[in-house]
Amino acid sequence: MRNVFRWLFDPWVILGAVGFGIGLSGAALLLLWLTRTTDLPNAEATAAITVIALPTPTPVTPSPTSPAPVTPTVTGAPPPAPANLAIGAYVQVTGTGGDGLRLRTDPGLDSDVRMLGLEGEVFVIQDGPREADEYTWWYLVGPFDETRRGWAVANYLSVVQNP
Amino acid sequence: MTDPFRPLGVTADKQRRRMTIQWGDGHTSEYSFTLLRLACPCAECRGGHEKMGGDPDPVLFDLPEEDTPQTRMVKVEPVGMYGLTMEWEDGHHYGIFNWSFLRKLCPCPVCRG
Repeated sequence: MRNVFRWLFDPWVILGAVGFGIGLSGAALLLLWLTRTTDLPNAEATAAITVIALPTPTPVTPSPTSPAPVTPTVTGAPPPAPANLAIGAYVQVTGTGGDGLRLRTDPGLDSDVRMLGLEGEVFVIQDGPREADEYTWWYLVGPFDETRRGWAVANYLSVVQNP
Repeated sequence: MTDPFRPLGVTADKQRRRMTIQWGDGHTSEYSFTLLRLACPCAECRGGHEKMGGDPDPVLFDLPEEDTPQTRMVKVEPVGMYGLTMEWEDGHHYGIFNWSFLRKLCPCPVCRG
């Protein structure tokens, strides 16, 4: 009876079992690696827009060109706050260099950040202005998603045509 | 992961009076200029701020096409990464179409169910 199970403790049997297990695990890992899906990096660029014009030529009136005025810029300083912000105005996040604009729970640089308004994202002003930390703050709400809301500084907002 | 609301390209054909959007999931939507103008989501076209947003009205898809200043597109421009805005020959240019709305506006038989 003891001889029936003796082979289980044979060193060669144990070695073979361990080797089989390692080989099986390696095959499984190789299979997972071969069938992995690669997530493409999220493209930040907007879609290219192509306009096919009408076949009839459109007369173009040449406009006089003049050199663009040089606007002095101060590195690191936020852009000036626009003067035409008001409750009910539709505004777009601009000038963040793609970083986005923090929307906070209250006016002020120490208040919690609720979310990030994306560069180019449109909001509607529902409250403000409030002054805090030497900035003017407006309360923004997403026009199609009201969960996107918060207080934001005026310097990175520009009014869009009232949709 | 293919995003159905991520546009890859937009083509506005003034000759055919059609705007085409290629989406990230491989779908292509083709809209008539008439449909786009009728579906304008701005407050003026919807009848007030409170009526903005929401899904496209199904009745829009059954209305006939028109070739009028109201339905002749002058230009189309992106609004950040948010969507598109269009200017029409009658001067109307207030509607902001976000990508989600445009996808829901697709008039193809597959999307219309």
